[in-house]
Amino acid sequence: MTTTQTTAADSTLMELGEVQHHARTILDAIGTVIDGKAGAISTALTVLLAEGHLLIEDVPGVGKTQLARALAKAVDASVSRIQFTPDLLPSDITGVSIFDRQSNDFEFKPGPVFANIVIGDEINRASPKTQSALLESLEERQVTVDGISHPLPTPFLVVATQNPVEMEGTYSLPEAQRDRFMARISLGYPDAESELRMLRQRETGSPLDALTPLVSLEQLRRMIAAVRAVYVARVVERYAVDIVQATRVHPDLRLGASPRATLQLMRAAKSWAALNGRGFVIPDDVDALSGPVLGHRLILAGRSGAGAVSAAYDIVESIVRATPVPLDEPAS
Amino acid sequence: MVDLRSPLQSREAPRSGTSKVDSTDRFAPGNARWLLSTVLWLTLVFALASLHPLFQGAVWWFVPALVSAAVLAASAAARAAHWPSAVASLAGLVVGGLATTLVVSGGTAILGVIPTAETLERVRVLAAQAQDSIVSDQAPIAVSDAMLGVVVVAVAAAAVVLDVVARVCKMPALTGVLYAVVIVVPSLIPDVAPSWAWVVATVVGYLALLIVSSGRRPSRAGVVSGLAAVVVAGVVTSLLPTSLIAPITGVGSGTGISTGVNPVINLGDDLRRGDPITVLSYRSSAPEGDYLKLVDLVDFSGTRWSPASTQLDRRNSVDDLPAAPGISTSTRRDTVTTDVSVNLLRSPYLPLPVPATKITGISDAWKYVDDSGVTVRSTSEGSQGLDYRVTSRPVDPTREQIVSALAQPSDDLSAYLDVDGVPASITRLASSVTADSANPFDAAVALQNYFRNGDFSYSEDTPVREGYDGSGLDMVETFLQRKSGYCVHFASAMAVMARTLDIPSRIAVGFLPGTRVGSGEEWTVSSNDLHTWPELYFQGLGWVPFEPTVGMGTTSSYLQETGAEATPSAGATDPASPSASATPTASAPSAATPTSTASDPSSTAGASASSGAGGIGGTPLVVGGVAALVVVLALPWWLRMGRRRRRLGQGPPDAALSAWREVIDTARDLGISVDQAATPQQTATVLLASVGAQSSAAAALDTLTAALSRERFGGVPAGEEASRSARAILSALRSGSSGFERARASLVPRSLFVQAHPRTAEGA
Repeated sequence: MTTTQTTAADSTLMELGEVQHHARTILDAIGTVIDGKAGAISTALTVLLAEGHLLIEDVPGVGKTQLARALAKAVDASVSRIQFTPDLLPSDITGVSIFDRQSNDFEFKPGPVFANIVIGDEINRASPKTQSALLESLEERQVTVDGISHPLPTPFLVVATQNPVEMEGTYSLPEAQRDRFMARISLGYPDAESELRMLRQRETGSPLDALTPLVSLEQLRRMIAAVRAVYVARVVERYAVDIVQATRVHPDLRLGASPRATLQLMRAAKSWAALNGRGFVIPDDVDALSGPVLGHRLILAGRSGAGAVSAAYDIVESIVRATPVPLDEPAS
Repeated sequence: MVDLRSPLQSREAPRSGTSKVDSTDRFAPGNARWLLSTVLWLTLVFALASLHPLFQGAVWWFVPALVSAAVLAASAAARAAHWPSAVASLAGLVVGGLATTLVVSGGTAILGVIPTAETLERVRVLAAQAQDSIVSDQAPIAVSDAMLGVVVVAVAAAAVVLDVVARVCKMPALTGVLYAVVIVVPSLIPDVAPSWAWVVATVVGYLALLIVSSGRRPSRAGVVSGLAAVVVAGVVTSLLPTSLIAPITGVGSGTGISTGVNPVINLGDDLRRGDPITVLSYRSSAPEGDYLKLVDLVDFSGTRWSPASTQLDRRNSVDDLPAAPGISTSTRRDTVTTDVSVNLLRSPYLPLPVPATKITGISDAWKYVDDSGVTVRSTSEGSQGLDYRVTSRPVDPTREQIVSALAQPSDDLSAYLDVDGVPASITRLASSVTADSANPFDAAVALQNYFRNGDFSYSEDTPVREGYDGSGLDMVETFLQRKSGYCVHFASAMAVMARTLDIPSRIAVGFLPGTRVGSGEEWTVSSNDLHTWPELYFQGLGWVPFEPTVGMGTTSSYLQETGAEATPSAGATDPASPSASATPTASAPSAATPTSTASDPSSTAGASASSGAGGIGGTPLVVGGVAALVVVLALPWWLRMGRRRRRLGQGPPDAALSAWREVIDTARDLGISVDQAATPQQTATVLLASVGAQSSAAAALDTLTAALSRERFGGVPAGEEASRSARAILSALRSGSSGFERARASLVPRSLFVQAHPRTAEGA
């Protein structure tokens, strides 16, 4: 984190056109792996540039992990992958301190979480105790073992996948931990054309293997710095706040979105604007990300399960539709 | 460009602006819909209550209020049951029809509510009766079944129209027109004070309607123009004389309400206006022309004269006219043939020389009113453009005939003797004037001479200046003291005094003989020849017209001498005094004093001598009235144009915002559904469908949207391109709309009445 800031301060900001160019290259590349899911891929990249974390929720086999790995491979970043199982222990993630006889001291052996991009597969298969070990690091961006804090590398993106909660052997993620993810997306089944194309591609080998890093870590940091610099007008901030506040009074919702949600919505919108080569956020950016950013934080009154996901999206959408776009500061 | 489609599948289709356009429904779900109907109804009954000076009692208000409540409740209930809006209005119409039938059918309907052919016939009869009542009664009208039925039908129809305008057309602001029409009615009627409290209540109701319908405060301009329209309408109508309103409201043809108010009262107003117009012409065999009578004023309530309230009997065909009452067969009579050609006179009464014995050339719609004296009227036709021939037989008695006739026993004419509460001063004066008279006829002549030969002067202005204009008893008393007035005063005074002497009397309203064309038998009658004169009844002679108005015509020879002298100089044998009332050397005086007798036609129960282009003598006022109307109608357009000019001339920092708002408002004015919560980009997509994707306006739309985004969200002020693009978009929007939409946008710009930007301040 500190590194990113230093870099941004030292060098001039990356041009938005360049940001857009790099983004397009990455998206195109990932598109060769995950066909027909441009929207989901864009959101994933948006979250990466907005320094958030991504939750991908869907049934098994639709390419959740593929997407995470493709994203990791497209940027020249360190990647680790954790397969969550019921017997996974917290130390399996964070790492352990081992006594080194030669130095006569405890030496910290970093766990798989120490990477730029961490793929947490089927996160809801692990016990709550293990889940929280990962998720604490999401917000803190550091790991504390035996009283010593170890900062995580930057950029740091956790892409967690989870199966819908009806699936066997799953522990549903508590809302406090869902709240730490900037956005949740679901991929859905590909259409017939995409699925056919996929079959033909896989005959000759995995397209994932052909993927090479397109953006260096340094370039990625500069892109993130450019996103931070995107301008947000007062009226757009107000628009975002209006939307979030509307979730708190909506009759169909038991729990609305948190202030953290407002922050993350704004950061995601900035990232989205930058991906579109725009130096300022427009209400449409907020609209576009309201569903993914707010949807998983809401608790519906009287509904749960897979149907609740799309129901939450529908509610967010209806709120967005009904919230007027301010064009001017209200007269005082 | 990166394909950055939204990750939400359901959002991939661009959200259409039409999906949530209707602010009425969006902000007014559930109870608020009932609220809108309730406010519509309240405002309607307020407006209706403002008519209370016109009617007696409260039934006329209460029943229509119930019926209109049924109409609006039915349609609101249908909408609550998610029926389509138009179908719901239809439900309201059906319920209104049933409720109305219940009120008016009088037992002819099946189950009381389902109309039959008999019901329709009854409605027709009731309508005719109500029309009679409207034409002949004076405010406040006693509410008969017929009148109640008409009011119920009108109010039920108004409720349906309100429902359709406010709910189906979604233009609640437009209902103001209907409310305004209702509340200005009392202003149109002379001698009726508008009920300002109810007018204010109506206006308040209307404002509440605007607020309820939009779910928010109506725009300042909407309120201002609404109030201005009401105020201007009120002021204009109360300033205008009746005769101007008459042609506008159609009362001249007998369908309006203003003719129901006594004609004589506001006569003076009309006398004081110039610009005579020719109302009819005729060719007569009478050497001095004919007095043409329209209607008799019989009832004298003490405050005013008014026509007898009678209903037309359809059997009273003019082919079979009754004999003039009271003329004995021995009385000498002349026969006069008159060919009348009506020009600009619009009247439900036919101008006739009296007593007419035969009329040819008019349709069946014209009936004689009753046997008391031949006046002929129609409920369905006006007199304008008629050509007809009348044979009349005025009496021309010898002195001997007069004297012998007076000896005959008299018919019962108590209706013509009714005059309660006459001040003693009038009775005393009548007695003293006629002290030397040997018989009632002589007394009548003495009265006439008292006016014509005494100290009286003719003046149209004095009565007004000194506050005794009118024909009531107080006025008569004052007139007799001041000795100055015009025909109404003379006729009224003489008729009242005659009644105090037990001589049956009435007042005729009609025309002086007019102006002779050249030296032949052709005469033209102008609006200034309108006149009133008293008719007195003598057994054997029938109704004898007198001419007390000083300076008007000259009287018949047999009316010039009293029996005391009994020197029938020419009278007894003079055949040259044919015309009933006078041997008027009337051409000269009537031309010389043109405005003298111009009793106003439109305010007269029968006579509506109004031209199509304008009321009698009211051309400047008509022009002024039309101008005022145009101003009222053009006010929304003018306000809207002013706003457009301001917006398009707006510089930084709000140049793009102002231009954008102008585009949105114009689109709304043109009936394009614009979602007020949508982002500019989404709105632009909607507008693109209206301007065409390939047009130059589409490029302008892109430019403006981009400029707006930069200005509002990017902190980069927009330049002139904003208003330039806006102009291109505006013209594309307009040319893409139908003529009707453009006209509506100009006359009733929606954006003026319902604010589109609830949360933001108006830029300048």
